[in-house]
Formats: sequence, C-alpha cells, structure tokens
Amino acid sequence: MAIALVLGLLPSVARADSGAQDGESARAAALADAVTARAGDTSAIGINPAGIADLDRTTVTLLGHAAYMHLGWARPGEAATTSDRAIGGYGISLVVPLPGPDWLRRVHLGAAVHVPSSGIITVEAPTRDDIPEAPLYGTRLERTAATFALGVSLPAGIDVGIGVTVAPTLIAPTAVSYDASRGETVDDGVIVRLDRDVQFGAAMLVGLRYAPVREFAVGVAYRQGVTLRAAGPVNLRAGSVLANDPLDFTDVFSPDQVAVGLAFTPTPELSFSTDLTWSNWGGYRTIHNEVPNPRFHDTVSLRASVEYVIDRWAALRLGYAWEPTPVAPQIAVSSYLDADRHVLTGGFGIDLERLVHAPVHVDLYVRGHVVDSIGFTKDRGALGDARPSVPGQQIEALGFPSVSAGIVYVQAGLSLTLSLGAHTDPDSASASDVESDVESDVESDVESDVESEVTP
Amino acid sequence: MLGRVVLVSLLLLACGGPPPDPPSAVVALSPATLCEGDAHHTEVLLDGSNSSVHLTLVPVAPDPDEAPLRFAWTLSGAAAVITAGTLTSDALAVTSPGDRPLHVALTVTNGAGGTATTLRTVSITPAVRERCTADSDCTSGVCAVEVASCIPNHSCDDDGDCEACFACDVPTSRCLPRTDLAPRAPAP
Repeated sequence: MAIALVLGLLPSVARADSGAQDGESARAAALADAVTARAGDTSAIGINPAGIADLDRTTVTLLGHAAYMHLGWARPGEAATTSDRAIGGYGISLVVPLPGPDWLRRVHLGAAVHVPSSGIITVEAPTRDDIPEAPLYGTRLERTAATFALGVSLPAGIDVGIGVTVAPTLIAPTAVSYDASRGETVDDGVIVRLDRDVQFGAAMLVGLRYAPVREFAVGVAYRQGVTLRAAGPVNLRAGSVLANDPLDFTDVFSPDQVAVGLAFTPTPELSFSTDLTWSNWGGYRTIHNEVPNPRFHDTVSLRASVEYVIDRWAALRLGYAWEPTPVAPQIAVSSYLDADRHVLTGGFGIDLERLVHAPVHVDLYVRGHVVDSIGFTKDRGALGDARPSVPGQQIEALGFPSVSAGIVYVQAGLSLTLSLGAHTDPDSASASDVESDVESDVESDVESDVESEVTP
Repeated sequence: MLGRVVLVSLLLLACGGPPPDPPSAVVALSPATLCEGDAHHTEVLLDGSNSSVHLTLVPVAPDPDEAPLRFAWTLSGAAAVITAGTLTSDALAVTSPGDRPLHVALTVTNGAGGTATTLRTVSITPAVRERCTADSDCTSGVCAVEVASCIPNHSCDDDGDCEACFACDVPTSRCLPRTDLAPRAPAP
C-alpha cells in the first residue's frame, strides 16, 4: 500500500477510459485484453475473476502507464481546433491463494486498485452541451476504483469467480446566501457553504473459465457497468432571490459487458486467444444524466492475441481489437467525436525467475488506436430551437453545419509482477496457460531453487 | 522513503503557490441572432465592458488602482468583418454572412495574470417559409415559384416593409427569404 500511495503522489497526468482497466497488467494490455479465457496474471481480477484461481502463488503486480492523445476537429473552411493531452495512471493488484488443505488452496482472493494520476475524483462539467468532444477518451471517465475478487478452482478444469468494483463519487450540498451587513462590497456579502461527502458506487463481476484439456480453454465474464453521479442540492438565497438548482452530474459511465473468450495453446511456446465482447453503450447517459440525442447504440467488439515464449524466459506478444463506435451520426446538437477504431498492441515480457532466480516478471506494452475518419453533417430538423424564447428557429450548434475530426492515441506501460512463495496449485491439470505449461516442462529446476530460497 | 516523497511533494506545492484570482468575462451580444443570409447587412455589437477584474456575481466598477483588464476576442464558425473596435478592445462590432452561427470567445486577463474565458454564439435564424409549387399550397401569401416558397402577398420598397428574416427584392418589389436573394456587399 505504501508503494501505491507514493505512486499516487507523482506529477499529474490524466487517464482515459482506454487506459488501463482496473487490475490490468502489461501482459494483458499487450494481448489487447483478449484474456477472458487466458489466465496467468492478475489482470483476471477485473476481466474474468475466475482466472485468478489459476494463479498458484501469491502474485503482486505493479502497473504504470502513460499515453498521449491528440484530438483535432474543424468546420468546413476553418483551421482545426486541436487539443493534446497526457494521460496516465497507476495500479497495484494482488492475488493470494488461501493456505491450508487442498480444498482451501483452491480458493483465491484478489484485489486491485487503480488511481488516475490526475486526481482521486474528477468532475468536469462542460459549459455547453454542443462542444465537440471525444466521449470515449475524456476526463469524465477518469476514476479511482478498487476491485475485489474471489476465484475458486473446481475439479474437471472449471474455475469460477466473482468480484465487485467499488468507485467513489462526490456528494456536495452547496448553500449560497447573501448578507449585506457582512462587508462594504456586494461580494463581501456572499456566503458559500460546501459540505462534501464521498459515497461509493459498486459494480459486480462474474466469471467462468473452463479448461478441459491443457491446450484449450473457454471463458465467459459479465462485467457490470459503473455509473456514478456527483450530486447535491444548491440553495441560493440573496435578498428576495431564492433559488434551488441542484447539481446532478453523471460523472462516470462505463457500460455493462458480456465477454466470451477462447484460448488455444497448440504448443507450450505458442498460444492464441480471442474475445467477443458485447457492451451496453445504449445505456449511455450524458454528464447531465440525459439520454444523448441521437442515442448511442450497443457494440460487439472483437479481440485477438498471440503469445510466443522464447527459451522459457522471454515472451513476445501481439494483439488486435476492433471496436465499433457506439456513437450515432451526430446530426443534432451534440458533437460527440468518435468512429470505429482498430487497436494495435504489442509487448514483451521477461521472466527474471528463469534468468537470475528473482521471482519477478517485467512486462512492457505499447498500444495504439487507429480511429477511422470522423465526419458528420447537422440536420436542421434535428437541431431544434436553441433558444425558444427568441422568435424563429435559432441555430447555434458549434458543430453546424458539419465537422470533420481525427483522433491519435498511443500508450505505453510497464508492469512488475512479483510471485511470492511456493507453488500451491492443488490441481496442476488446471494450470493451462502458457507460462504454467512452460514451467511444468522445465521439471521445476528453477522452482526448486526458488522454493529453497523462500522456505526456511 | 515515503516521508521524503511526501515532503518533496508538499514543497513543490508550496513553491507553486495558489493560482491567481480569476477575473470575470462577460459578453453581451446585440443583436444575439442574425437572419440566415444576412450578408453583412446587420452590425452585431460584441460588448465585454461588463467584465470584472475579480470573479464576481455582479458587474462592479473598475478600481482605478488596479491594472486594467486585457481583452482578447476570438471569432470562429463564420466569416466576420470587424466594422468597429479591434480584437483587443473591450467592445467591437462585426458583420457576418449569416450562413452559419458566429461563435465569439472572450478571454480577459487581469493584472495578477488570472484569466477567464466566455463563449457566446450569434445564432442564425432561418426565415420561416412554407415550401410550395402553387398558391394553393400556401396558408398565407402567394407562391414564388422560382424559389419554391410562400412569400407575403404585398409589395415592398425596402427591407423594412418585410417580415423578419425576409428582405425586399427591389427589382420585383417582393419580400423574399434572405437566403434566396443574391449576396450583398458588406455594409461599409
């Protein structure tokens, strides 16, 4: 925990939704997160909690990631409006197999914390609803979250898991009043009282992983979305003016997801995996807790990855994901900038346990988003009347008459994974990931060394 | 180690100091909308003179002992011709073709270095017109077949004789939607 706290004090950059997920490791990121059926590291805590049952040693993963995002948009005949952001965050994950008899060692506990480096809670409310913005990258999706998971390894290669993600939200009752006797100027008479409470929202994770044979595994996971609201009453009293205009911002939204994954390991060195993920983006709410017009739609994304282990101590990883955009053509007032994206990932890992008998994995990854060109033209009929109090239809949308835009997003990250203690897996047949396969092929020379070091 | 990191962080925060007090940026638009197809006919006053050196709920008179506000206007979304003032004065007047909304951003900076930005929009108002192919299609007026829209059933000598967002087509003495008229030269 001390390490996590120190990381949280490092200089600020922001985190996008497409940054690290809760509990994500550099290995999982390099595999495009196509790991619903592919166990083997602590990223299972947030992706498929059943996978943590496959870790047979106490495992701690520290992750740091940083990214750069460039957004540019323009109306016809105008120079582009651009914005550049640095994005980052830190995470720590822990999986512990329970000690004791065999049946108890089948139970694993996991916990992961992710902290965006820009702040514990960020609420960023736009001054206008029609400002062109990228909803899948904005600061609105930054959040601090902790995930707790329980995984159980059952006979016949079946793992099951459940988890819960907890994230804080802000309740801020605000009172503004006016007392003319307080000072000489009008401003001196203004009294503002803020009373901030932190509340927590929770979302559920459920997962299943079935590995009937060493070469093949299938996984299914349900990840409940997280929707958090920053809210609170605002009472304004100034002389005869009395107003009650409550704050109510839906400051965090992530969709419900159901993922189905397959993992195939034809040889101990080579493995493949793929995920198909349905995401309930149709439930998207704007920051003002409204259904966007036009409404977002659900998506089905595809992920695939390959991992190749070299000489038992190094692993090369490649991944690809196709993520269709949930954003409908922006013909009305809002101008959400998004398009179908191709996610390209790559990375490598080094097992220092093999090289220098230190129980540490070092994993690096890079991830880039290739976002299709973005463009839309407003429909006058869908724009409505921006100011009904003024005669005639008032058109003032910032995206009128049309917008073209582009997004560049690149990210890199590093994770350190410490495996502590001796292997405790009571059912070695269930250890079907590549790394476990390789380890079993080595006939535990290295494991014996490690055990002799950690065992009194 | 942890204590050292915390101490360094606190020192960095202390050296940075709090941000300067922000001013208030207030923009008044007059008029706040242009008829679509205005073709630089109407002068729009952009007035930032009610901005304040300090963040405030109400406009206050400037303090003579404080540095004056600096103004920086940005015009986007539509072409604009400045007919009075400059992009750094507290107020200016502009005209626009009226084909798109004109977005006006004012950034004010006070003597302490604090800044505030306000974004307003001069909207466009399309003429309210009915589409038609014959007089019988119009609930009022007559059908101007060449522009396929209903127009008032009276003659005009100038724009003042026409309804909002219609303009007088002098050669034919008819009130037509501004967007159906040939573009006019910007007002001098």
